Amino acid sequence: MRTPGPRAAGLARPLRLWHTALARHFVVEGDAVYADLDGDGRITRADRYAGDAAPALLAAARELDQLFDVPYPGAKGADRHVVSGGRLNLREARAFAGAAGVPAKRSDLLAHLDFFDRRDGDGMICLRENYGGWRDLGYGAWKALTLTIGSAVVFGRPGDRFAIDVERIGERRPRGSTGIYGADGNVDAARLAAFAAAFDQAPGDAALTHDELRAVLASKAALGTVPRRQFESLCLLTEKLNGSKTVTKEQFLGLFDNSLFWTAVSLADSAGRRRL
Amino acid sequence: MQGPDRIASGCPVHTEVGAPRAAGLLDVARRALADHTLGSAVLTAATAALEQGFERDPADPAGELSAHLGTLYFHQQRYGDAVRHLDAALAKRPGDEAVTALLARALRNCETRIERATTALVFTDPERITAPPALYLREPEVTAPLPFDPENPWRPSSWLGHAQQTGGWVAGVLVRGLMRLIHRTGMNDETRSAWQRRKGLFGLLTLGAWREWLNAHVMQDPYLPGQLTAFQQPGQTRPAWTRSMPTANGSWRTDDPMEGAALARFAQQGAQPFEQFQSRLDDPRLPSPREVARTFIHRRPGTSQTLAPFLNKLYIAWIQFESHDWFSHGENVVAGGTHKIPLAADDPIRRTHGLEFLEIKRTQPDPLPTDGRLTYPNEVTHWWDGSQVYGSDQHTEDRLRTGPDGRLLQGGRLYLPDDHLPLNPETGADDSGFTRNWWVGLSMFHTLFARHHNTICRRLPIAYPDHPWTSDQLFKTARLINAAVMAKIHTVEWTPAVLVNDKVTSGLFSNWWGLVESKRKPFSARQMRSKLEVKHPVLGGLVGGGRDNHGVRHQFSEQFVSAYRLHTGLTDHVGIRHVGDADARQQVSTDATRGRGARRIMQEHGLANLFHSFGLEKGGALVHNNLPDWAQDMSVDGQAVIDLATVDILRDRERGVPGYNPLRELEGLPRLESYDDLGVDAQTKADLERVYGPAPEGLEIMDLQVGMLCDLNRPEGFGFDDLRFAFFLKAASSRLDHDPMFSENMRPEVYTQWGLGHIDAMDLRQVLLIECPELKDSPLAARDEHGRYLIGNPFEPWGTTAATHPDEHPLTARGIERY
Repeated sequence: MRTPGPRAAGLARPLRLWHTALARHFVVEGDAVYADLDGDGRITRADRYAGDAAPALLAAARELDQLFDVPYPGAKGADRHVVSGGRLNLREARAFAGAAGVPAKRSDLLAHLDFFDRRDGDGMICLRENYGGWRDLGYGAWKALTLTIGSAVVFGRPGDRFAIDVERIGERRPRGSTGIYGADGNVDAARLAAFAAAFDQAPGDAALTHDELRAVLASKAALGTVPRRQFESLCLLTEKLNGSKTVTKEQFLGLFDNSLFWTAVSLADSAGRRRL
Repeated sequence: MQGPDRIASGCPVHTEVGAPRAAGLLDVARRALADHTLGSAVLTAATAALEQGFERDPADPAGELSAHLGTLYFHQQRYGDAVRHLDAALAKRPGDEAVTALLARALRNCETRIERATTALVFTDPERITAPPALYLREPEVTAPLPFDPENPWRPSSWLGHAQQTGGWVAGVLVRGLMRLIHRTGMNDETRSAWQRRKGLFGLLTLGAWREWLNAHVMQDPYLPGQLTAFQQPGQTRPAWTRSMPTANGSWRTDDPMEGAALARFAQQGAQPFEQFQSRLDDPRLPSPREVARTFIHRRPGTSQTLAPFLNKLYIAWIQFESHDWFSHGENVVAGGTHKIPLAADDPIRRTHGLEFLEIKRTQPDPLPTDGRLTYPNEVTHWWDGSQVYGSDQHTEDRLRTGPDGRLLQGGRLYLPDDHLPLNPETGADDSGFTRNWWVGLSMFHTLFARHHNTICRRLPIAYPDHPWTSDQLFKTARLINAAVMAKIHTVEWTPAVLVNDKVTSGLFSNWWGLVESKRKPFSARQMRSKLEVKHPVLGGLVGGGRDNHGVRHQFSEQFVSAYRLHTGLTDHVGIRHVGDADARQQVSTDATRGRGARRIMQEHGLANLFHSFGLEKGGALVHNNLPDWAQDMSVDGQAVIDLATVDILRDRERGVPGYNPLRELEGLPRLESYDDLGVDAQTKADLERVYGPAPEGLEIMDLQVGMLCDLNRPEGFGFDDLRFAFFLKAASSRLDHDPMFSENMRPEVYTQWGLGHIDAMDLRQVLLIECPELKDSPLAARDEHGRYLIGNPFEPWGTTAATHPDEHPLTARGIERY
């Protein structure tokens, strides 16, 4: 038994799915399931999938759409084999409708940015979305403004009114990163594990103090100014969440599997309300 | 039957069975009992050997084989076979007291069918914990929002609303200032909290300051910072209907999907990090829990039970009924190893049953543990939502609403054939929302409030005849109203009856009605909201105020569970009196009212007569050495012999609950400095020194249960000690102000205006008189010449009045409450 959500009528935009047992990416649109049938690494409307898993994938897509305000990448429903890859943004949806289609796998970095592109899902994080995202994460007005300006200047383009083009984020990536996001924008699992291992040495609840985190980062990568500021914003966020200058392993990993931002806006306050 | 020569190799009886001499066989039986562990086949093998020996030598002139066979069957929970053999043994050894006692127990167990669980055995499913809760809920069918009159008296005009808000703000500033002053003055004396000594408003404010300190310091969240409750995925859509209706499993009561829901973890309570609450089972300093139980909780030989001077038996049945709404650790388990407690040479269980150790199952572990944290999930919802009556999952809720035709009943009703609880076909016992540890006291209150649910369902459509009610909307609304009636009875009737103290009573009334309303009007005239209300948690009440969880998500704590181990309140017997009877027509062992015995007694005497019986007789006092005899060696489903007192001691150690004295400090109370601070007699002090060692070291390891029962320096009028009160004090307010349904949702749009009026009008007496009209002829309904009820609080003994026995009716006699 389950409760129909407010969007029971149908999917708002095509939804990406990852089937863990089949190790395969899909796109679900309406009553149709699509997959990379020809092995070119892309999914188009011509790649209609009619395999055994199609009914389960359709059911999972509808369920995810009902269970989650936004079926963000990583969300799961009753079928634990099926993981949401997030909705296609408007630009991707247009590409999907055309001949080119979309890459079968969306990069992890793009999925990471989806949180900020919630207002219109157009693939561009405008200043308003940028600021709203930080505010939703619990930052004060001034801090959110500085983070907005900083990220817009680094990642945005003047020609786009400093909006951040998520698909072109790779072109604007600063030097001196941790290397956890590879050149293709996907998480380098081995590299991430190397950083995460530091948490296993921590006593108790596998949390590092912010100073310890900084030391770990410094020991494993020569961070540039921008990546260092990015991790400082992680410290600010986790300080708010934890009430102390600590970051847990789960939160560190959550930065890369997309759960951290969504968790931050889903936690209820003293009155039982969340920001989402 | 399996022959002895076919018993598997490796069985401890194997070498004995070749010699079918009676003496050898008896030795087999003795060794089997000594080696018996839960889940092992040793008893079965020994029984087979003895049965064969018995066939070869059926004469059994001394009845020894029969006696041993009876004992073996008893421990396999085959009580019918036990009766057969024990009966035969007794015929050959008529004076044998041990056989007589065991036979009586086996017969009783046959009647109560105690070996069969009264609830379906369900173990915690980790998938169920983490999956989005909406997957397990059924959306209620609703065609229109609840009827709501914008001109209702609950919605004061805007100027009045502003005035109430302003008054609340001013009061808030004032109270905050006073609290700060109290904190500076200090909240404690040398060994006790200062609120006990301080008079009037000063004392009340000190009590309030302690509550504020508890709110800020003691609740330790079992989940890591930044985790959603029960590891739920973030970003889930909250089903819209959950904002105004209770869900079956307690989920989506707030925006955190599983906050307070069934299967969410228990917290730890005390001002230290969660990681410091660890199991104390392996602490080498601690004495055997069985020795502790025998010395401080079991009755001393030759003594009779001390009864609570001003409480009837309803008080203990009620608190068990309520605690099943709040917490349960679920099914205990054998897997992973049981707790084996060696029995001393003089231990009665060793002498009676031949056991060498007492075996206690483990608490079911958390299937999703966190490193370094000792956590357990709660089987029931943490909310005050009547889950003991309605269940803590959708399946149970629907089952209780389903009629014999297999379809949900119309009109939102619960299925109550002939106004009594239905039989659960799976268990063969009474069916309700929570049926563990079942006995007639529970059956009475479950039946009462199931009936009351149906009464509310009948009255709502009468109050709103034009509203297009659906069965689901009636059910959900009635559940909210019924649960609030229970909460009100607990807050303003049960707790004041147990804690007869003017400051505490003022605080409790303040929680429900607000201080202003409770000081202005007598008990029956008070309302949750009135025009003179001030929007402040103390002056205006927690109920109907703003929701505030003081920074920690809602969950009950392990210490709260410990505080409700009130087994000395149970009595040996229940005297059955029908309405109008002057004397008891029958004395029933409380043990015989357990399991399926509850249903038999209910059918035989009826609900009203049982309430009459419980109302007239006193319950047990919450003091040391006062456990009823039957609870010291009793049978439960899955185990023929346990000792409730030993379990009480062991569970605290197992679940990371610190000892009495350290926990006092963790709750903001002064530590005790010597055993003399407990106010116990010389024998008890000597026992404490013998069992725990001399103070201060011994005092530091004294178990919580022992401290709570032995500490007799209690606040004035208290039925229990000040540390147990600390847990009550925290929970009494947090289960109201943490819960949106008691705070911001306590309004006509959610409860209906009729529902709010009904909650105001109800108390235990009114519910009893509505659902058991036969009680109109009982002392509970008797009035004096001015029309006032002679019995003020229904948890006080019904057979006397404040005029004739002021000590039995202290709330009225001392002018603490105006009925």
